[in-house]
Amino acid sequence: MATLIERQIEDWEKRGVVDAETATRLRDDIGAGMARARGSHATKSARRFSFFQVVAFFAAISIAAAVLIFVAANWEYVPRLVRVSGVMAIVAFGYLGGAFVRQRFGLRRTLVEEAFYLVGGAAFIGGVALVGQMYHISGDTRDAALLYAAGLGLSGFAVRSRALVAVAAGWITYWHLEGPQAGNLLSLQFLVFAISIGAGIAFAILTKARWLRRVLYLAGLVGLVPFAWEVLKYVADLYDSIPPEVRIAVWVAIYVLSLVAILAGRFLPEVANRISPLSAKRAGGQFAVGLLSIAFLHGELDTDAGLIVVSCLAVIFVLAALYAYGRDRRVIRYISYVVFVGEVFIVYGETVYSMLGTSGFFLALGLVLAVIAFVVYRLERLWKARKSKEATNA
Amino acid sequence: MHRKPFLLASALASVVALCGVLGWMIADRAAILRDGHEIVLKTEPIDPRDLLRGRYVRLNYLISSIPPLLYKDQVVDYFDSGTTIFVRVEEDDDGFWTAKEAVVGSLPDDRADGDVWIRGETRFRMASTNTPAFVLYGIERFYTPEHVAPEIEERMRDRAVTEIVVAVADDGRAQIKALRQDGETIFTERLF
Repeated sequence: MATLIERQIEDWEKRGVVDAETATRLRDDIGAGMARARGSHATKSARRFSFFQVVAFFAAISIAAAVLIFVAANWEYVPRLVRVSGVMAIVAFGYLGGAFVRQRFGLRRTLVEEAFYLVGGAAFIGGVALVGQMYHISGDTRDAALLYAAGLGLSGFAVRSRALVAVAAGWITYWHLEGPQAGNLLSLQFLVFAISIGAGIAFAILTKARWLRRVLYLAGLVGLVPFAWEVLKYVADLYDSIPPEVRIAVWVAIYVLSLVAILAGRFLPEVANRISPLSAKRAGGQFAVGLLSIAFLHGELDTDAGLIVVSCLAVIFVLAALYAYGRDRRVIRYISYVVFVGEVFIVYGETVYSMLGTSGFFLALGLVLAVIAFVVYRLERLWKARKSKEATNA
Repeated sequence: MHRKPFLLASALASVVALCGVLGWMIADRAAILRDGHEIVLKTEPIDPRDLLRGRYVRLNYLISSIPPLLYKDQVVDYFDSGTTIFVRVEEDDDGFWTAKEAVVGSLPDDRADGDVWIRGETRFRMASTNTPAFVLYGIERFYTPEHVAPEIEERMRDRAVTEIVVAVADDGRAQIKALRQDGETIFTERLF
């Protein structure tokens, strides 16, 4: 009787993956292993054992289902202490069962092990809810969340369960977000949150659980959202307190500087390379800063003549950027197209739309977009041709 | 992770700790029920159509709103949500207990022996100087067995006077002890 592994070895031997000597040794080893197993009657008893295991498993499920149905139907009449004891028994079943699975099956049943721990953790949460119900405690969900996070997190560390730690991270994040000090980094509340997440990350690193680490990073980021929001509000207030003339002047200056930087970096490299912010290596940054200044100028001047002026500035800027880097920098090229089309939309929407009416507007818009598409197409071909010429020359 | 040393011991410790928390919660509440000072509070219907939320009756008390007049000494402009407030309750002639005095923060040191102070938390961030504060005492829910709930709700709808017997611990924490309607005890809490 050739087993799968024996056939495999034969195949390897035929194809020359292993030599004849190795193949023989491998076969002998398998034979010896089987002989050892037969000698102690392990195979036979193992097979019988597994059969009993299946039967016992079904019996256990049937009995558990019967008990559950009975309990559900008579829940009101079950003495409360019995209910709590039952919940505690499930907690014990979950944690000890998980540990047992680990010791019995090692790494082969990690999912089952984690499932056991989760059952235990869920029973703890259920138990807290049950006690709250027994004594009519209307305490808020946030306190409960902290208790859940501590209970599941610490026990998760103890039995080294990633699933429990991940669930605990969820509870602590909920606790933090719901708290009155969610936006304040200097509060005790944030400290507790940060330490908890930090402990979780340390655990994830120690256990080499990459997905858990990502989950915790995410939880930490989510916890920072209220703070980021506060900062944003503060910055916006600060910005609004600056007089508009100053804001416009500063943004125009930034616009001019980035425009100069882009052109200088490309066409006057000997000057630009001496002043590093102007250098062509920084073209991406210069381009981004220029677009930022345009965006803010749009925010400042959003009506009539001001809008037209800003849109003109924007078009000048993207044309300059295309002229300087359109061929070599693909990102700058495509963003420039998008900005250009966007500006056309804005100006059209504000001015031409009122003159033409809806259908005329869309017709005109279609024509303009067709022209843009044609120009872009020609430009791309031109650049491609030049690039391939340079390549052949080089 | 390939090895988990001391796993069984850790699992056992976790079980003991988690079950210990549950047991402690029960013992703590039972102690309030057993040793707490007993007071009777009158409930006010919140919204007669919405008394039952899932499996509990929502309760609102006369002492759930504390007018600014009652504050002793301190005057703060506003309460953050979750500010701790202690309220001294006293029995009136009709047998119901009402709020007589309130302090923000911690229990006053100069309280008399027979005084009953109950601990609550403000519900919203709100101005304190001109509007009554909404205070939660952790006794705003009454979980009922399913076969009793509709009956209680109907009586509350018919404006039957619903009284809640509450046990108040020395530190001010409150615990519902019984629910009575028109003097008839509907439900009494056992210790466990």
